[in-house]
Amino acid sequence: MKKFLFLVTLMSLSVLYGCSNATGKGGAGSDGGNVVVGITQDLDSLDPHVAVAAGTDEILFNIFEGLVKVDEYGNVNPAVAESYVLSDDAMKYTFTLRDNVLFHNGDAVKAEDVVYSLKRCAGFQDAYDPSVSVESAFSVISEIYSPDEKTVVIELNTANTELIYYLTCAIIPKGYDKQATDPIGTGPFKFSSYTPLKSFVMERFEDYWGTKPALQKVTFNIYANSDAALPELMAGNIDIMTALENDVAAQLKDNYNIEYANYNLVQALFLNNDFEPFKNPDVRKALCMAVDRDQINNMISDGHGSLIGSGVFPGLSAIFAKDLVNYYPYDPDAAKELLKNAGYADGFSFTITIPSSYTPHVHSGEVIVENLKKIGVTAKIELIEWSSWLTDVYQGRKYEATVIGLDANLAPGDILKRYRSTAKNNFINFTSEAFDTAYANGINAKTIDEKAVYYKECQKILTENAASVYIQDPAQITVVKKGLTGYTPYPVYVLDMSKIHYEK
Amino acid sequence: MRYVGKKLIALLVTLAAISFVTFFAFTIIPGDAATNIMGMDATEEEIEALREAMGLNDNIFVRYGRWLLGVLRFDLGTSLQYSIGVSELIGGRLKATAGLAFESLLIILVLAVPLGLLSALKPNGALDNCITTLTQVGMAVPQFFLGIMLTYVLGVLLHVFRMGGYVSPGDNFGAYISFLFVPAITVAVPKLSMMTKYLRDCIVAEKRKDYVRTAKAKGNDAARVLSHHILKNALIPSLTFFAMIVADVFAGSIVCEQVFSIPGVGRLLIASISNRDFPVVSAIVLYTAALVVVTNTLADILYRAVDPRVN
Amino acid sequence: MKKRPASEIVGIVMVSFVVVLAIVGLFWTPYDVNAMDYTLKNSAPSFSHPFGTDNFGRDILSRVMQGASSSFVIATLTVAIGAVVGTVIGALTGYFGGAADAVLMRVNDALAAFPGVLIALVIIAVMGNGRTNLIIALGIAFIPSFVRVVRGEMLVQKELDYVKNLKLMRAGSLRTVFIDILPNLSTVLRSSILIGFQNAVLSEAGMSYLGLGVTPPDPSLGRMLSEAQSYMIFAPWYAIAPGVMILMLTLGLGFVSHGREEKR
Repeated sequence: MKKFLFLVTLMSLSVLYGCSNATGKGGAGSDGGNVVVGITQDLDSLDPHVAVAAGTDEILFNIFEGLVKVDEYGNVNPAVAESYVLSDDAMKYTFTLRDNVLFHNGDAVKAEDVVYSLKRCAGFQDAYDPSVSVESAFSVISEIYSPDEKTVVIELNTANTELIYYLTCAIIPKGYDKQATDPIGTGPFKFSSYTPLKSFVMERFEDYWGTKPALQKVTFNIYANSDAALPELMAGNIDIMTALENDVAAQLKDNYNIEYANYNLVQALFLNNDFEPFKNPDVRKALCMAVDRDQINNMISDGHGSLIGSGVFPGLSAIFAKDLVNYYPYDPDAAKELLKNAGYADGFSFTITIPSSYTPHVHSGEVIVENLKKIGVTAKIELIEWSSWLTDVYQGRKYEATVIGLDANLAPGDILKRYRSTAKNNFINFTSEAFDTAYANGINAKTIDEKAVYYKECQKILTENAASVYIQDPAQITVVKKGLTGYTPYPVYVLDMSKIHYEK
Repeated sequence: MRYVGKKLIALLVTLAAISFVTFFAFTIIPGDAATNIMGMDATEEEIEALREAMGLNDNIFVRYGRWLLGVLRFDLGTSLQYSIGVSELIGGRLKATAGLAFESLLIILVLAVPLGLLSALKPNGALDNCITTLTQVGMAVPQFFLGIMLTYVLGVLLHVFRMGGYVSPGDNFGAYISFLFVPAITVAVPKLSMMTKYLRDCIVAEKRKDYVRTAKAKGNDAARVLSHHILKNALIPSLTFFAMIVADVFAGSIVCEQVFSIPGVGRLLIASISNRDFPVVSAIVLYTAALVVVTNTLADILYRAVDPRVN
Repeated sequence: MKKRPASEIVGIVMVSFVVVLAIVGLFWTPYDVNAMDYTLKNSAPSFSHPFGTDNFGRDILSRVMQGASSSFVIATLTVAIGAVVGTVIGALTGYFGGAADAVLMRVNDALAAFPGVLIALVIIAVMGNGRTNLIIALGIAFIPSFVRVVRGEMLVQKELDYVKNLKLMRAGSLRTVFIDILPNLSTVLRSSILIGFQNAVLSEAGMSYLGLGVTPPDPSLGRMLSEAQSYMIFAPWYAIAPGVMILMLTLGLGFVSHGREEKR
């Protein structure tokens, strides 16, 4: 009976695809088929201004757009806005809104919606919502207003050329209060349904202003973990799944294409610079030389990750300091010597606190523990829940070391801003006047070439001081069912479903 | 009747105590819903503001009182993580878990009684030894291991089971029932083994009692004795045992939902503990405790009704 | 003395096998349990690695040996906490009764109402992850069943003539409880402990499957099984070794306790 049911399902599926073949692919009104994407992280919120998890951003990218939108090369292009002008003193952005941009509920986007959305993100009083995680980069904004129906003006209290990268902030209808359960945006797909712990479904938005996606419907199925999804992948019930281990992906190569990309993270063994042995820069340097980054890369992703030597990932190509990658080559003997000179000839012990839900970081930690044994340093892993990690490690700075990956906005300075001596999220307690000066110069610089000079200086300072043990930008391994094309890796957390289509 | 009243009061006190302990536990755990929702790039002030807005800053007794008043009005509050009413949220997940639990209990009931009987027919006979060994294996297999094995054999090798095939009963009731069958087996096997063994032992013990010998000596045929006396007396303690199994079935479903990616209460519980979503956790704990306490109490009352010797 | 049933002998053999491996594992393993080798990643069983290697190229035999001893230690301590605390509470409340008994039994019912896994989950969420906390959490979860068994048996013993006589003879009731009555509960306790031990091994495996308990890189049978799940198809040996090990231990214990019951 079961077997029979299974056959019937198969047949009905082929009928469905058969139909869509007959009507042809692509173009408005045609049925471009359905796709099932496997994910292992439930969405933390459907409200784009409340959501903070990278996995959620990845999905919501398809539903929401800002004034501007990121592309696969790391540029920001006009979206809800048609164009913008930045004043010469870099104190005023003037946006001209695009005509005919519709919300998923059919209403046209008005200037007041844009003003409301930006104010809500910036934490302005007249659009205040305590659950919104205020974008700290918006603290330079002094005023947001619309002089007429087609224009939105953002005035700043200090010159800033990087704000544009943050204006990907989602535009949502003013006064709509069901964003958290029934989200409405302007993106190529519209929200269809969400069942916590089970699935998130979206459909093609027929009135999208830009190139309409080929796919008719995309279902994100939420699995408890990738192990639970594996049988589904083997049976071919999932079309796309990302964040897989290389060994797992390799088992699937008969039916799937394997795509290698990067997560766009700075993965590091972050050291609390206020913790006793790590107060000494030589101790930190010794750890940098004792950790075998190649081994971590090999163990975790068979060498598909990209090694880094400072606080910027290679995806930010304009400012990435390539020459720092091998600043500290793997050399346990030299590390031991350094430790001896620092007064730790017999080594020392410390605890690495890692959020338990991030398996790659836990696995990296296991390799690090083995690496450090060779220089007489005893590291112990402590696994804690993500919430506890946020409270104790990230905000409370009550930890000795941790393994985590930091992501960033595409704004060149974003990934580096936490290392400023006074930064609220400077969780490694790094202090350097030279860094602070270089960073300030970078923010104020006008052109990207000028910025690159200062930001590379920043990276150099981080590396020379061995602020932490920078490891790699880990490999993001994705399987895409054969017959589907258009998977496009981005330099930020994005899973762009609008480009994916069936072949032919 | 006075006994029932006394039990009822005890039941309510127990539930209140359990819910308070849950509340208290949540004030000790590092991290709260506000930090969790705000994520990495929020400032201290923002988190504080959200905490204030969510009412997390109030004294634990105030919060407990507020929650208790809500519960008395059948209002379990709103999930801090999902912004959905807790009843609605749990209600949706309960469809999966209830189906799973129901099918497991059904499997246990349908199989345990005949297996136990067969086994007890001829103690230490070939059939008995065979069934007993099977129950031993059933009790010894870790549940998740059994789940993994079933998935691979039925799903990957034989293609008769679809791992992520959970559908909600409203969409397709047949598919819902048939999908849950394999996870239900996984949950049922250890309890089924225990129940079978328990039943067998009860019958065997009963058989050795004097009244059975007397009955047999009087010339009553074996089948009649079995159905009229032994079975009746053996089933009474088994009833209590079955009530205790209900709690274990729920516990089993926590792990099982993880293995089979079933969007049930167990997975919601694990997710809500790590999200620090205490309205959801409190509600689930309360539901579970209520379920268990009520079934136990019912079994107890029933036991007294059937067996006049106890009072 | 009755002959031991065959199943009990099989059980003893199985348990002894695991115990011997575990004890040897405490002092010696063929390889360093945590030594990694990329070139050996997920290699099949061979002469040098009889059980194969895992996703870090670590020797599975060595890890299974230490994993078994760690499961053993955790299960033993868990049952010890449950049995000792449970017996003391159960014996005292059962013998003396009164208000304390009523209150404690309420608490016990409340605890017993919860599935053990749930109690352990909450306790670990509060106290943090780790081997010691897992032992405490599981230990607490195991108390109620022992209280129930001992208290029930105590109520029966209390009504027996020898206890009534003792009551008449002496006033030292604590002495009566622990020296005179408790030894008579040893048969009941022994079988509870055996079953409890089996449950403890299973619970430990279940908790490590959920990622709670022994922290990596130290081996644990449950965690090995859960990691092995990713490699089921092309490296099944990773799952087989710890799976068989757990089964031999729990099944062996089951056979032993079953054999004992039959003898009674």
